Amino acid sequence: MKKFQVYGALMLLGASVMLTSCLKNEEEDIFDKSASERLDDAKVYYSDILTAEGGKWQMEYYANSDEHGYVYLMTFNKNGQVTISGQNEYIGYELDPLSTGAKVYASQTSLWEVVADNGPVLSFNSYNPVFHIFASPYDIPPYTENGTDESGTGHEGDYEFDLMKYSNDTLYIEGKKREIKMIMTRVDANVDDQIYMNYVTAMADSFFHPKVPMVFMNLPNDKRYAIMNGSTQIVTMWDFDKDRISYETTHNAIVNHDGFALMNPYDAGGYTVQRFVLGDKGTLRCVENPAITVDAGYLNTDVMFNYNTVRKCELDTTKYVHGWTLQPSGLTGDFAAAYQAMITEVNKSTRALNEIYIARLDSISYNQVALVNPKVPFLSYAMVVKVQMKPGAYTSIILPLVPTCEGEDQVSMVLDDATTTAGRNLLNALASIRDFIAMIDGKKFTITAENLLSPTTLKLAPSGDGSSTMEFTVR
Amino acid sequence: MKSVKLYISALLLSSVALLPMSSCSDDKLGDTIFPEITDELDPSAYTYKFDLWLQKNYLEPYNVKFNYKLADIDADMNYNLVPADYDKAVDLALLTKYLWFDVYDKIAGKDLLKETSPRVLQLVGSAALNPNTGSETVGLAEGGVKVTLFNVNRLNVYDFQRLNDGALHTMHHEYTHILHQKKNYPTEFNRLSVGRYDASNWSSRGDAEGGVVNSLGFITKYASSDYREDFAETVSCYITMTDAQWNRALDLASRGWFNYVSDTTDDWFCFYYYDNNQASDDTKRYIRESSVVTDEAGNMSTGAYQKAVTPYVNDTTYTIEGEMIINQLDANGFRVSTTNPGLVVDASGKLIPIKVYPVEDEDEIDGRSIILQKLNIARKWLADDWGIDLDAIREEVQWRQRNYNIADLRKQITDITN
Repeated sequence: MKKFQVYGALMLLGASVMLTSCLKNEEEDIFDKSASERLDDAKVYYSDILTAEGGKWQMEYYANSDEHGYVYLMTFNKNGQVTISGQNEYIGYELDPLSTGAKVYASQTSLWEVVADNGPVLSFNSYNPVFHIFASPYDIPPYTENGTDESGTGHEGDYEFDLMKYSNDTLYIEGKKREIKMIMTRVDANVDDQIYMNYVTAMADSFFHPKVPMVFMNLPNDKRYAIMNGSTQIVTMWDFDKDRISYETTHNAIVNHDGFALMNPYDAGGYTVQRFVLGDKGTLRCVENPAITVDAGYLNTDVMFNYNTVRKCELDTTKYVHGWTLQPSGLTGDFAAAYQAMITEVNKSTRALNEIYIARLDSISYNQVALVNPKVPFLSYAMVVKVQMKPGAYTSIILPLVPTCEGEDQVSMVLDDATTTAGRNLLNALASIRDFIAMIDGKKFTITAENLLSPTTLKLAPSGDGSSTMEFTVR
Repeated sequence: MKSVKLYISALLLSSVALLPMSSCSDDKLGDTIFPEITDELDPSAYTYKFDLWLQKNYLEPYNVKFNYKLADIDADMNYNLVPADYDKAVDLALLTKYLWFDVYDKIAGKDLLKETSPRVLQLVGSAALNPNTGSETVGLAEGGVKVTLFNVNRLNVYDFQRLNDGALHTMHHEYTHILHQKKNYPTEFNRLSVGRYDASNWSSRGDAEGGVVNSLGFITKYASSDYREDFAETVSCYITMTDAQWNRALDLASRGWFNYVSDTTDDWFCFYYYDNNQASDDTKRYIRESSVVTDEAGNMSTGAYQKAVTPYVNDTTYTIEGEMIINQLDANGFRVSTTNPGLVVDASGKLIPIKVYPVEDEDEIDGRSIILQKLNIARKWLADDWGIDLDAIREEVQWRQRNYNIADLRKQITDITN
């Protein structure tokens, strides 16, 4: 009996082996072609995409996770050459050892190829001084003339990129070593590289203003996220209703031809944001959710004049807006006439009108602050009329300013008496200045700005009367 | 009955065993999954002429792939590297052929390199700087199959000395490794400097020029790191160093050296003098060779004068570094400065030349002799085991590196018609 059990077991074993073997053979191929053939097809596919329609692309390049991005313009030729144009300070150092760090434009041609690795890889496989500077092991600029103390680290950038996906004229790529995700977007082949890069550089230099370091991301649910230090393209962001120190996170970003983008997506209270394009009046509109906008919030006078808000946003107040300078050339209507009257009267008295500005009192020089009427709350604002009495000697009429913000773009200004003896004497001596101040004191103004993301110029017009305006620029 | 049962059992077992085999026998080996690889070059490619030249001059005659494009996969991922500049790669390909392959072809016959050269020559644009150790790798020979040359983008093809420093010396060095990896050189070589190798600190050994390691019997500092590197350096330096450079190394190898260490100095010297020519331990000063002047009779002086002080004042401070500037009055009585007035002793005896002495060689190591012994071992081994006349190789390389014309070499590629 035992022997029959053994035979039965052996037969079952044999049958199972046979079935296994048959199952293996019956497995159908998922793909029509082998992996190698598909990889070869992918190389052709991406090569064709890169060279199609003139082959011009903008690459948003990140060398590492601690540095902002750099825009490159690349033109891929079917003959295996690629012309790469860029404009940044490192190109300047690379091409000119005497460079002082200027953002130099340069365009150089080298080789490219889509090669096979684990998948299709875009490789810039011959040296291009415009592009490979970020992959070079050398320090830029070198610490020493002969570079003998080189650490071999450089910027640790990639020059080979896994081709991940193509969609809507956008190539999604990933640095092969550093695994940083980047994108390339198709550009009109007729675009002039230098004009394009000059434009991007100008955008990067002016898009955000270092003296307007904080802007706001306005969410559809009326919440705001602060974005700090956009001009460095390495931004700090946090929920503005929460404590900055506890909630801020830092992100590297890039200013590109069309706007601004973060290297990685950011979760702003449930809204995922990454890319922003320029909208009306310089505001940014989120690509992922167009209802989300970014602006400086300066028309919200609470931000412009309320120091507590400033203090909440900016730990280092010395970096924040110090004030606003009246621009005589930007005066219109009654303000222009009143200003001209001041000039005329001051000049007759052998003095000269130096400038008029609004500033926080803590940014006005110590002596002036010390003379401020103690009843005026510390850290409020003042309007300053600065008059040159004789060569090298100035007297300022410091008028403590109590701004009252109404709504998002209305401000009432109440100016106190001049609070220094010299200033009061000067004010008493010059009627035209008293007249000009009277046009401001106790009046309500509507604030407008041409650029809402970097409002370095503000226009104040009496509410309901646009015929007369004052223009202030950031100090 | 028992045998019948066994028979049935065996039948069952064999049938069970055969079933899966018969199933497998239906399998057929299909076509290769890899696309057909062709050597056909694309005439429309920008690199077509160069690629064709490489095919005709490296791939077909030697089965060597000259890899001038850099893919990460071709290099150590731990380093930050950039590809070679295309134009530099073209020049280096031409010069490598002219100064290495063609030389061995001419001296040792066509088959040698075909059999022994690395299968891949990989160019890398930047230096291989190790971020962890701070060291730099100038070349790599991986198992005799692949030689990687770094720093191609800093090559100066118009200066053979820099070309040697940057690439060609490395090629001969790595090729020597390949040869001795195929056939061992005599172990007698390894015994000549046993106990004097320093794998960790070779780059900081001795003086900057390498005279100290020369005096220990090594042709370069790198040679003092390991006996295999010593062998490769001895051969490659002999091939690529000019007569002046080789003789200079042997001269330095013959000297005595002294490591002078003070609060401000830690350096090696092979000359010294005494303040005011007054010999004593207190007045002994070490001096760099650049500050030593030798007259026609072979007398060595600092080239500077010191004011003789009689009686000698021990705490007088003198400056000897470099050439001394002496203020004198010209014929019109104006104060002028002259440099290095020579060895003429002032008639008044107030100015005296400072006599310089060579440092005594007390290490009992005859560096020059050891280097030459190593060279002779290498020379004989190359001749006996490989049929390579090392002196003929050196002579040919020396002539070629003095006389090559890069513009003419480039015509080999530019004159190709599509």
